[in-house]
Amino acid sequence: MSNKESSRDIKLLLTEKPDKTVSKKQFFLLLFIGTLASITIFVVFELLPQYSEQNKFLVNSAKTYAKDGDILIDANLTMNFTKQVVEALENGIPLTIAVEVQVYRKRPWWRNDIVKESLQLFELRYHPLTDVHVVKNLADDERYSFNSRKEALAVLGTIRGAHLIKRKKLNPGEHYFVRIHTLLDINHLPPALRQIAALSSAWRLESNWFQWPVTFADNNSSNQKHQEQAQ
Amino acid sequence: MIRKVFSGPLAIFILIILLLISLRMINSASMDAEQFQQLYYLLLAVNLVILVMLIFLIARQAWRLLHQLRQHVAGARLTLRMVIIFVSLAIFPALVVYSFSIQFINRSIDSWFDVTVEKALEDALTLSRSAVDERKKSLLRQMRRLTDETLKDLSTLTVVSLSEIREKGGMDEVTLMTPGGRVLGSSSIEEGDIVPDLPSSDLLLPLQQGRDHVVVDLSKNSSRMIRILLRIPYNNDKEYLVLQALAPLSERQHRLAASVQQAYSEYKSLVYLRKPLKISFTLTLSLVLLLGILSAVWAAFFSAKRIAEPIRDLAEGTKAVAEGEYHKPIPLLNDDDFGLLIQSFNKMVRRLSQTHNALEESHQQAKRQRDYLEVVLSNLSSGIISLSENKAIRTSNPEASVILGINVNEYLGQSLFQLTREKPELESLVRRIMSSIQNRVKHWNEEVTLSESDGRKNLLCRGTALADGGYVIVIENVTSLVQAQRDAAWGEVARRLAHEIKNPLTPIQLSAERLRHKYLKTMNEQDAETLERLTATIIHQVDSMKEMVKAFSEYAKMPELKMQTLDIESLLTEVVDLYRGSDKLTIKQELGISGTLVEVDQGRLRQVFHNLIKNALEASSKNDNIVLTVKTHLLEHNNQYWCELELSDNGPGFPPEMLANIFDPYVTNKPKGTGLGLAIVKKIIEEHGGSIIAENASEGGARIIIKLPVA
Repeated sequence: MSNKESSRDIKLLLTEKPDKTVSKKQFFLLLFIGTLASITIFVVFELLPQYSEQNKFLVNSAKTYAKDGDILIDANLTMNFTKQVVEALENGIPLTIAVEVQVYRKRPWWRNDIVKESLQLFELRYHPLTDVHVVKNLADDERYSFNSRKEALAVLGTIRGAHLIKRKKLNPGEHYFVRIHTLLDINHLPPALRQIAALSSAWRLESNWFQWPVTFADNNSSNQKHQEQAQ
Repeated sequence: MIRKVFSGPLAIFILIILLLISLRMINSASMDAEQFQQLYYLLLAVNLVILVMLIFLIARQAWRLLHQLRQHVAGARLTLRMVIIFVSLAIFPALVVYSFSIQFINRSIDSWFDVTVEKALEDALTLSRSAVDERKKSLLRQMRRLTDETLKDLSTLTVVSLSEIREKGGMDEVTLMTPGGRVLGSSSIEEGDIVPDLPSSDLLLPLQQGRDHVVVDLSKNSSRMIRILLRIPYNNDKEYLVLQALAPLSERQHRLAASVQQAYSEYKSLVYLRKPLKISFTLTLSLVLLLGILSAVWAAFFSAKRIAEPIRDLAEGTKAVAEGEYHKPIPLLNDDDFGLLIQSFNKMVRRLSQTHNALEESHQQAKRQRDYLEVVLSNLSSGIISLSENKAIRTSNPEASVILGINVNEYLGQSLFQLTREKPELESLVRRIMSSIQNRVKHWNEEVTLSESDGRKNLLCRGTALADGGYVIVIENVTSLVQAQRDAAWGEVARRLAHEIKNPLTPIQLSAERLRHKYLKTMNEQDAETLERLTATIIHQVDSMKEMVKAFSEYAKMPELKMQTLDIESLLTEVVDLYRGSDKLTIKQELGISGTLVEVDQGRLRQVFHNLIKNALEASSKNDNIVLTVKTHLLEHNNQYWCELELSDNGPGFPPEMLANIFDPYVTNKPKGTGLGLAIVKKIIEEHGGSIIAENASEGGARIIIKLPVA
């Protein structure tokens, strides 16, 4: 009987140990670990993409204008590849170039209301037999052949009178903005290459967002003077 | 709870599951996922967080271990050893597997590619290219010839001529247009096809430079694979038009060329991807290895700590018990072997604690008893001395020191004989005690009389042998008891003497007087004279007997004291002054306590002084010059002030044989003394609470010292 009692005593003692509550020390430990984790996540998500090849992909100019009840867009984009990307292209790796355009309404103290979003994906592929570069629009499977990479990229970077949005979808009383950017989409690379591309700055080709306000005036009333560089 | 998650096996489990999930996801993410990049970053972040956390946790554990090692904490060295064993057990196999895997991946990926295949494919491509080039060249030549023949004059150009060119050249479609892309005319093999297939602007660039151009597009699904662009100059070569002819490629040619191109392209891309693939695998494997090793290290720390913890607890518990701390049971963490050990340990400690408590309790009890005994002993009126086996003094109570008149405690551990060195009077006592002890008498009683300066001391000694060979000696001072008995006996003697003798004295005297009165007249002169002489003697002797009886009865029944407070010194000098005037007597006075008040019976004290001075004068009567010295002074003893009165003469002093009993009745050397004078003096002084000492002064003569308490 005494044995049972003694073991109960010991267990009682055990439960009295102040282990169960979070002490000040443990709180600071948790805080420290949390901070470490936040810093790591910040580095991975914010600083890593920043560390990329500058000025390889650029939006030189862009404008919108109204024509026949539609809002159309013109834009000049510059796309240059790093030598690692060129090497992959010449070794038969298809590259996917994305051009993303967004029409949005700015809201004070609130995130922007995106009215229209369009993502155009183009695949660039080199054909060694015929020595041509073929650009394929992934949306409609339309193909264009070019003698050189430069020509292909020049054509890709020139957008003329592309349909953006119906004019009636926009409320004239509101202020709308358009923004455009272009990037090399590594999601469509062959799996074996993706990890390297995700970690290497040579593969991180992306222009900044280029934004400007939408005008409803007909014809080519240029807005280039009001352009502002986002970010 | 949180602590449990961070330190328990649950944490390891969660981490490993997280690790496996993230690795699996990295693997699947690199296979197929539209949102590869975002997912990859997320997984990378998760992995890095886990990595950082693991490194942090390991660093913390390592730091703690280091600290414990420095502090020499029990179990720390065991933990270190186990950590080293666990880590090496985990790391070496992992490293071996890792290096083999890397080698295997590199070799197997390399083995997919064959140099001969690559060469063959390149040759096939070259062959195809030369075939295509040949076809391109022949088509160009043919078209140039046809155009030159047909389009000699642009002004006469009609659709018919375009159709002619098309038919002659075997083309599918022929279109004439300006360099700006405006179609001037077109002829197609298909009837309904009215919209010509226009070339992209870059294809027209060579024409601007004055060259014709042929493009083969194998990717197109249509059969019009060969596009021939010819420059048609006019206006003296200043301007030109563009003639585009689309030639079909035979189904077979197209299939073969496309196949070669696709195969080559795919092989090339595979060769190219070989390196990134290896890097990807190596990266993933390295990450797995790193996380695995770190997890193993942490798990090693964790398990080692868990194993060493009960050992440390036990060590600390043992240390605590060794330091006398019995009230700290070791917490029971689990029910394994260590749990059993700890349970037994706790039980043992509890037993020890109980024993210790019992011991402590008995010790306390013994101490209480000893204290009690000490108090009793110190308050006893008997002196007690205990001797050890080797007859050395072990303990003594304060009364022993008082009775022996020497601080016995200073002689602890020494022989009883050492006492006689300071006080030789004790020699008879010590001898009696030691002889009894040496004779191994278990119980003995002895009566010892000590002759000390301040009188005789009657001591009753009892000895008892102890079990350990020691002795306990109880000494009682029975002086006052003996004295009281003696006084009482003398009182009784005196009373009876007075009673028995006084009664017949008067009839004797009366009878003698009657004899004389009746027979004196009848007798002759000679007889009368005899009778006269005899009766006178009787009467005279009876008178003196009466005096003696009176003195005895006075001694026997002293009247009540009539106490009053007065200056003792003036009382003394008053009595002394009565004796001045004789030439033979010189009185010296050394007085120092004038004004000191003492509560006394004036008459009785006067009697004391008279008795003492008379005694002195009588004793020194043979001297020609009697010197009586009177001294008074004050002294403090036992927190009480005493006045000391000293009377001394220059007579012969007390006979030494009488000195011990000088205050007893009937002790006298005077021929006519009753021997009651000093006895009465002593009785009076004792009735006043004082004491009296008689001694012979070293310079000669007797000295009486009286001490009376100051009021």
